[in-house]
Amino acid sequence: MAGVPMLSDQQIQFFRTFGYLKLPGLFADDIGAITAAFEAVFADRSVYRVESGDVEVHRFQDRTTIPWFIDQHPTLAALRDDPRMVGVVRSLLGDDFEYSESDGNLFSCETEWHCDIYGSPLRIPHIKLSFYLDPLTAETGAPRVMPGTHHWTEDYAVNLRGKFDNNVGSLPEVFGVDGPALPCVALETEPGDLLAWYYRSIHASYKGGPDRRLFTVNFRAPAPDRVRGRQAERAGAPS
Amino acid sequence: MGVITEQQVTYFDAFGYLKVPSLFAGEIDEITEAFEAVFADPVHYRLDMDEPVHRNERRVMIPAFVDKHPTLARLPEDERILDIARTVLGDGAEYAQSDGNLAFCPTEWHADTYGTHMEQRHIKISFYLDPLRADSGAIRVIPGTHFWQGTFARQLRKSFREFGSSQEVFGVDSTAIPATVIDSDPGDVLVHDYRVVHASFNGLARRRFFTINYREPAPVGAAAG
Repeated sequence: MAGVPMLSDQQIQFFRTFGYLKLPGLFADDIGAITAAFEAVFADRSVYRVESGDVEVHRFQDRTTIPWFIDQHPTLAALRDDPRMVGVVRSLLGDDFEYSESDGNLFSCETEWHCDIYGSPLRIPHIKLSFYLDPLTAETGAPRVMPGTHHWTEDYAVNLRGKFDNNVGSLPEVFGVDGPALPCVALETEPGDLLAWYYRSIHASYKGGPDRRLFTVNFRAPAPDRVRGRQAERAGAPS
Repeated sequence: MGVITEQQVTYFDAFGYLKVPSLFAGEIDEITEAFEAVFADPVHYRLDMDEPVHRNERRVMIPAFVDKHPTLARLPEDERILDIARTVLGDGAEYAQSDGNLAFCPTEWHADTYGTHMEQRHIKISFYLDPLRADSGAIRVIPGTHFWQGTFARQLRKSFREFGSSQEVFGVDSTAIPATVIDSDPGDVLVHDYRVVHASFNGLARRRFFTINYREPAPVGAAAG
């Protein structure tokens, strides 16, 4: 695809096998402007936001989310069509990918193990491209993933999802250890890195400090009926 | 209550491995002495290998290991070991031999599928006799790969069929494959399903370990192996 930097075959294979991919420094040159835009949106009290402190998966701690986040600022809105983003998404989802909204977040909470299945049909692959705007390690709230759980209909993921969904806040009673001690990979990040993962990958975050900044830009593969419609359109037939 | 709790069994079933810290801390000196005595006795048959899975570096293995010394020979019938095997595999758990090892090598990603019926669950109970960490050769596992017929495990086994090809397949070295390192100290016992994909890197020379293995009974009517 001319002008769009695509991922290597190895990066695609890594993503498909483990369910996530880290792209170090992909936006390092622009992260100052991106962070300034993030702060400007959160500083504008006219922008609609959801402030929650009553969600079990966040251990009833504080999280603020602004939906449709990148639409609130031109620097952020430009990311949707940025060739780097397009290259990543095309590499992972193919040419017919669809934009699937964005959100901006301030986390002052932990996040228990879960996958992002709310409101998205799981049969359609969705990916999340995440910008973490603070340096994060396993000890300071970096996202943790369980590789392989993006194979969501298979025994490994089904068994874990069942246990996590039914035992939020009581994992020691199930596994003998609490969420932070379960086996996973901590995706340690620096501002300017881009993290890609499947919605279906089971993930969490522990030990983080207040006001950790994150926004995500989401994409999905088209639903099968839309693919058929587009193919028909291209062929000149009524869809 | 047995040696391992219901929660530990759930953990093992979910991830394919379990560490039981200090289970043999009281006897580890005597066990280590027996280990050294067996390796020091040249009468014992041993395999001195330099296989591709070990990057063609040296590993020495003595099969039927625990039979070579009375201190070790007691272990397959030790109530702690039997309790683990029976709790994980059921009351019909069968002893499935042992081996002793000196590793002077890394071990690339693999599952212990050689010569075993994969349909029959096998577990390996390992005693590592040196303190081991990620940078000194601790075993690392890829949790979930004991679901060996799942896409994740099959993809990985296929990708690792050619040892040392991680860079070519995934763009990262074998040591950077996402995994869980199981740090261990002498006296700990590690249990893992044979089918779990595992490896060891950055190891000290002459790492000492031995394993005692069990399997669930073959289904009635299954052909003899």
